[in-house]
Amino acid sequence: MGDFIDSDDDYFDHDSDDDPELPEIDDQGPNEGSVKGNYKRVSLGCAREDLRKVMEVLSLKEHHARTLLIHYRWDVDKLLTVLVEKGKDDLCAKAGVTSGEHDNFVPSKFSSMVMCIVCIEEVPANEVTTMDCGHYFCNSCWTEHFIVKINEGQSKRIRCMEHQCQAICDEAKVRILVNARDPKLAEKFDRFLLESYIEDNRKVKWCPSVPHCGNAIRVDDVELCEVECACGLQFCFSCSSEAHSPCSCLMWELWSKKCRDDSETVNWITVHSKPCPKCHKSVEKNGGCNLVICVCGQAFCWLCGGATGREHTYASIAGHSCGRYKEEKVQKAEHAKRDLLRYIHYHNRYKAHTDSFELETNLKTTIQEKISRLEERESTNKDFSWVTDGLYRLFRSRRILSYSYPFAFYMFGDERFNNQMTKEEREIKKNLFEDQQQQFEANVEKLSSILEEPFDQFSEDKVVKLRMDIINLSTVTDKLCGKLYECIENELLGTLQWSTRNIAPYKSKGVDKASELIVCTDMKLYHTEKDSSKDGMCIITHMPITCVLNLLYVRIYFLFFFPNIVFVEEKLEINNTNKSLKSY
Amino acid sequence: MANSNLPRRIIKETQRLLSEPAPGISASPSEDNMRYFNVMILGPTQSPYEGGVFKLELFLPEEYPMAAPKVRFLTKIYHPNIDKLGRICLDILKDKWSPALQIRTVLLSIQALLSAPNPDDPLSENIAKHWKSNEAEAVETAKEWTRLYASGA
Repeated sequence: MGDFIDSDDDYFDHDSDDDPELPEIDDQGPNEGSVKGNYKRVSLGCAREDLRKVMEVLSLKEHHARTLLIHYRWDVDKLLTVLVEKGKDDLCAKAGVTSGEHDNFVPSKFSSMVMCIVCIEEVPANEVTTMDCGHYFCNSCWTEHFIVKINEGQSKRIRCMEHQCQAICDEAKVRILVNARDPKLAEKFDRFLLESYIEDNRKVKWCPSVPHCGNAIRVDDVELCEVECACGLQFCFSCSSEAHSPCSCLMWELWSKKCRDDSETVNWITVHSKPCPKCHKSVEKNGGCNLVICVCGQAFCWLCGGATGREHTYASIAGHSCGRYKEEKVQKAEHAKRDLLRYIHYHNRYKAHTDSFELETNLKTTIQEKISRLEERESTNKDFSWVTDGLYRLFRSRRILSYSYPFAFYMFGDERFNNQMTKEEREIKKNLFEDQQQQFEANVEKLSSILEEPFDQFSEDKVVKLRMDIINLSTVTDKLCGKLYECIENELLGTLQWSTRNIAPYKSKGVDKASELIVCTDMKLYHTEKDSSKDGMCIITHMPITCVLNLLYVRIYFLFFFPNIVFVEEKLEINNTNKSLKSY
Repeated sequence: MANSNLPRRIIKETQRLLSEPAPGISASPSEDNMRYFNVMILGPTQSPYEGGVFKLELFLPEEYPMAAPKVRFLTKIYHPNIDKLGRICLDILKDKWSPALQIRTVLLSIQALLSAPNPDDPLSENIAKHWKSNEAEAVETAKEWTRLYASGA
């Protein structure tokens, strides 16, 4: 099976060579010595801070600290809490870290041959490796064991071979032994360990950009938030899909699914048409009696869908009788039609705003041109931040406006909150929301239109006036957007008991943008300013795309060949199932 | 093909299984595949399976001993940790496998499982439910099945 993965490695490696966007990081920071490959160096750097902390507090070796951190999902605070509550021994025992007192234990110092109980062979004492737990086996057996475990995707926690021994094998020993037999696999082992910092860490996530920008983002506060990667993609940190506030993650998931499969249309078709019993095409009844004839010529009964003869009387169809017309079906059809119309309404609005958003993105270049033309003019005013600020406000508002429609679709629909509001309550809340939304929408449109004015041809006075207008409108729009959020958070979601009611809060300044911050000498991090406080979030950058693809590939490979491996979703923290390989 | 390059450990284990069999257990490799064993386990005394002779098959995968042997009951058995296909729910055959374990230890563990069914970790939901709600009746059924399917190999 090694071959299978290896060949794909080559494929992606080759691919990445041609990729001009692949980050170059060879020139960054000092070399890691024996560790080869850019990806590792960068990742090691990220994890190092946490590792160092744990190593210092617990006076542990690096591999022990890593094992602990992997066990506690790189949550240093949680680890330290357990330390305080339960003590070091308990903390270590749970994670499979043994004290290491057997470190220098050499089996049977006095005899040159030792018995390995796995291969049941006598082997020279110098071909035996002892783990921290004190169990020793011959190097060949250890190597076999490690290879099997790495290929099973268990690099992060390879246990000792002894029955019921919980100790995790020393990564350095694993590396040395595997490297001697299969250097490529040893590299893979290293990669798995390092990726653990990103994969297992609830504060760190890969940027979901496609093609992948190579960045991972770290936030300090795992509460609901939306972030902007250095590549420009804004995404929701909890569900890794595009930024979707004020929709909740669940709403957004449902909405994007609905848009994708057009399920309302399908719904309508199932209610309003029937498959022909002969050719299985969908047939719509265009009035008349319940004897329907398909284009293929087959006659069938509209009520039960069964094939019939072609003749009918007022009361019955030739050769067929299936009972009376059913009231229920009429209701069902009306319901489906209403749902469809409702969906179309919201979807149209949503789509219109998304389209506008895209068109307005072009505005950026035109406005830049206009500004440079104005700058060439002899003018007293050289500051044009009001245009760019206004434009930014427009982008920001347009986005929120478009997502407010799917929000309303679910908020006031029958599907979700029906049991938690009476019809009257719902109507009142809907009106309240729609009033806010309408005001906000009107201002966004106004802002959009004045930003398109050919102000580079305006006279000085007119430019000044436009400047005032744009500044005012921006402020008003910002305020209205804040109000819309207030309405959503307090009036609408605040009263509900629904786990997914939480949404990323409105930020007037926009989505937290990751900015560059040098934290470690050998890596590049980004961080954001979070309302003027520091250390909002960081981007861990420069993960070569090959690694990501390889990882993905290994996943698929495992799913394919080991279907009994369970990929468990961690419900509290990560919504994306396929992101985490948790148990086997 | 499977017999060429048979690891020394498998040969040694086989020899020992044949020369000093564990009480109540017999395991002999198939003639054409030395990794395939025909196993017989006697129902432990004071268990509902007493007096029964249970046939199993055991296969040593390519990775053995790094991967667990695959074992399955061939004789029908009424037991909460064994399903109707004879698959066994036993930790050491899954994630708790250790290369330090052997065929002998695996078979002894299975024998022990017959003495101590564990309805809290069931493989066969219905049998486990039966076991928990009315143990006496479930034990009777197990005895009945032993008589019906496992008497005289």
